Amino acid sequence: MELLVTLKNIDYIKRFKDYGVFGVIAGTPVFSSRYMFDLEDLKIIKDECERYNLDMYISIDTMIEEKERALLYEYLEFIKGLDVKGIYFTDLAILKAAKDLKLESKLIYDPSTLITNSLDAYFYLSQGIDSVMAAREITLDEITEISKNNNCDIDMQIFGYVKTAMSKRHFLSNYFKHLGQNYNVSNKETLKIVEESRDYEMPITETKYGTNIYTDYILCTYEEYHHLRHYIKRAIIDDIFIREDMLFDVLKDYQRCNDDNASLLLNNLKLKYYKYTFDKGYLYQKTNLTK
Amino acid sequence: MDRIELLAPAKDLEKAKTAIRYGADAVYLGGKRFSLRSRASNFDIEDIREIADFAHGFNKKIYVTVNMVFHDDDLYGIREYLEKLDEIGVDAIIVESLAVASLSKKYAPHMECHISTQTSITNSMTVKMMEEFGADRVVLAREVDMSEIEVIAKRVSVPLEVFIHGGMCSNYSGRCTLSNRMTLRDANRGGCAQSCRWKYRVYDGNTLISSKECPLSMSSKDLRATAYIERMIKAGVASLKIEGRMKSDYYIAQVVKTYRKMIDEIYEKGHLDDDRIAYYDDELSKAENRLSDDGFLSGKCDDTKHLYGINGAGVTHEFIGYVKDYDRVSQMALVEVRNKFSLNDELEVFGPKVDNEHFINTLMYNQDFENVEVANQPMELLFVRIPFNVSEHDMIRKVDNHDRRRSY
Repeated sequence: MELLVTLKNIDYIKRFKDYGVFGVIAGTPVFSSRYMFDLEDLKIIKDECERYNLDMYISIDTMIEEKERALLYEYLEFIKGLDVKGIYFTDLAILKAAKDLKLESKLIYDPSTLITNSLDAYFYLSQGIDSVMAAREITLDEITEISKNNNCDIDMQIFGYVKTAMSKRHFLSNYFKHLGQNYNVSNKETLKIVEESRDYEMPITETKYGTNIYTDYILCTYEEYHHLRHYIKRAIIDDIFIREDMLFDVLKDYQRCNDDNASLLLNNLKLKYYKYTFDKGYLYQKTNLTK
Repeated sequence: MDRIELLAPAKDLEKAKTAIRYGADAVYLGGKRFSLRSRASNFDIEDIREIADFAHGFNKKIYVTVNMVFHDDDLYGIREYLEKLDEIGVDAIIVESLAVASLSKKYAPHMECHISTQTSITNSMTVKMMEEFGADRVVLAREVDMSEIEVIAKRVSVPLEVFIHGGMCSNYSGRCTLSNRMTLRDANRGGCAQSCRWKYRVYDGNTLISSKECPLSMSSKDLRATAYIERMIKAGVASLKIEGRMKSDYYIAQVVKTYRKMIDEIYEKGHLDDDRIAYYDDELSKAENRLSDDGFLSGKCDDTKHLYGINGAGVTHEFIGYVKDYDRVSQMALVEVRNKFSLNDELEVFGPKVDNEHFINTLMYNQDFENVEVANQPMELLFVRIPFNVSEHDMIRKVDNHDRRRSY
């Protein structure tokens, strides 16, 4: 299993190698709802990754609009020129374009919610792509089963806030426009929404592509990590909204984490960052099919 | 070129039959398993067989939603289910899972596979990908605007289906699990609690930045595509889809009939002016229970598309009963009462062959021939004088004087 981290600071690359990180996932304002690196930055990131022997991955996590068709091909050609290790993608338009450009073997399909069973994982893997990303709403047993049935070609988010909704709508700017206010909400990572009868503080971001909403908790899998090592191809730490000190503490913990010390490490993390909620998400929690 | 299809939802047998009687070319419904609207899915195999036979008798089609986002455990029995649907003559299934679509192609070869809006398809490249995967039809995401629909339709050969009316997901369909977090109900397996329609406070850091009087809601107005039907027909869209498997018989009848009339008028005249579109908007408002607009079709989705502090729209007409029988000599109709109405109310009849005929309720009596002034017993059978011919399956509504766009 390889450990990847989403990248928000180029300076982190040289530090990551010492924390057992295999690679970084970067994005740009083009076709990415976050990771605001310029295209030129991607070349720097690629050079830095080569310098520190890390793999570089690109995230394309927006839904593609028809008018972006030509730009998508242009962008993928650029990515192809960078010779990155892989491309995480959300919209199957990328599969079509990547096939046209003979890039499909670098693809990792991450539709957030849709890789929920062995047959669909197999279907997408049979398209010649490298891997699929497990949906965040399935249980550990289900992830294990999908992995067993698909030669362990499955990636998984193991730490971080989990995206729980994506919309083309600009919920926040529309709302403040309705109120007659001009509140800047674009590309901020400090915004949260709280439902009136619950106390979940859910981070929310708004970009030109729309709105993303995240869980109120931080998914943390220290206690499952040893098990996951046998079944997961790549484990992803998503650092959106995560403080720098927490990120490197967590990387250190995953480096030394085993069945004997995982609970202790988790307790220590919870104590040190007591203002944050750490949770196992749906790993042991099935959701209901009916209302 | 084939005429465009009007596709209507059905919660149960009666609604499926209503949709067909009122002008739908096809109906879609969910079985008791494998469907995304678990609460709306009342059809077992024998029910589906009955409605398939009924639809085919009218030369109409029936599609079955198999569009849940499957977990491994959900897949048990899927092959046998697909084979059974094929055997009883279902015309197509609507699927999110491409693996299930592949199974259907293999084990249920007579059924088409339509790719569900759960896949949120927003561009021609993904449509082409689906075509390569064997899709017989692709349902476009509701986030696609009209000009994009026109371009996509030009660039692909697989038939396209487009939503034209009904509820809108606030987030990309299939990519939202707010309900899972809020209620543990799986949004993508039939349990969506519509958490997007709830009220939220907004904070920047620890500072409350939302209004206490008007909190954030992500709730969307419903979709109403009347202004775009002509362009959709001209673009070569294959099917126009009405959302609403949870909706009432009356709603289905009114919405289906309105779009049926509109489509037929476009084919007949080639073009509808703004007055005619406004007429059809008024017709739809007779059953509208939530404010509506054109969604993403206009190319923008600003604050006017949302519902802030508003629950619903005031319908301009209230459904009050079904015509069960009619005697042309006495002009007395046997009416099954569904909502309260009185003598001297202004009533309106509409049906498969009746188009908004008005009358004043001057005489009604019960089956003991006792005069009745107020009908307020649901399911009671009353005789009502209607001064024009009506038929079984016609519906009666009370004309309300509410403003058309009153909301509450």
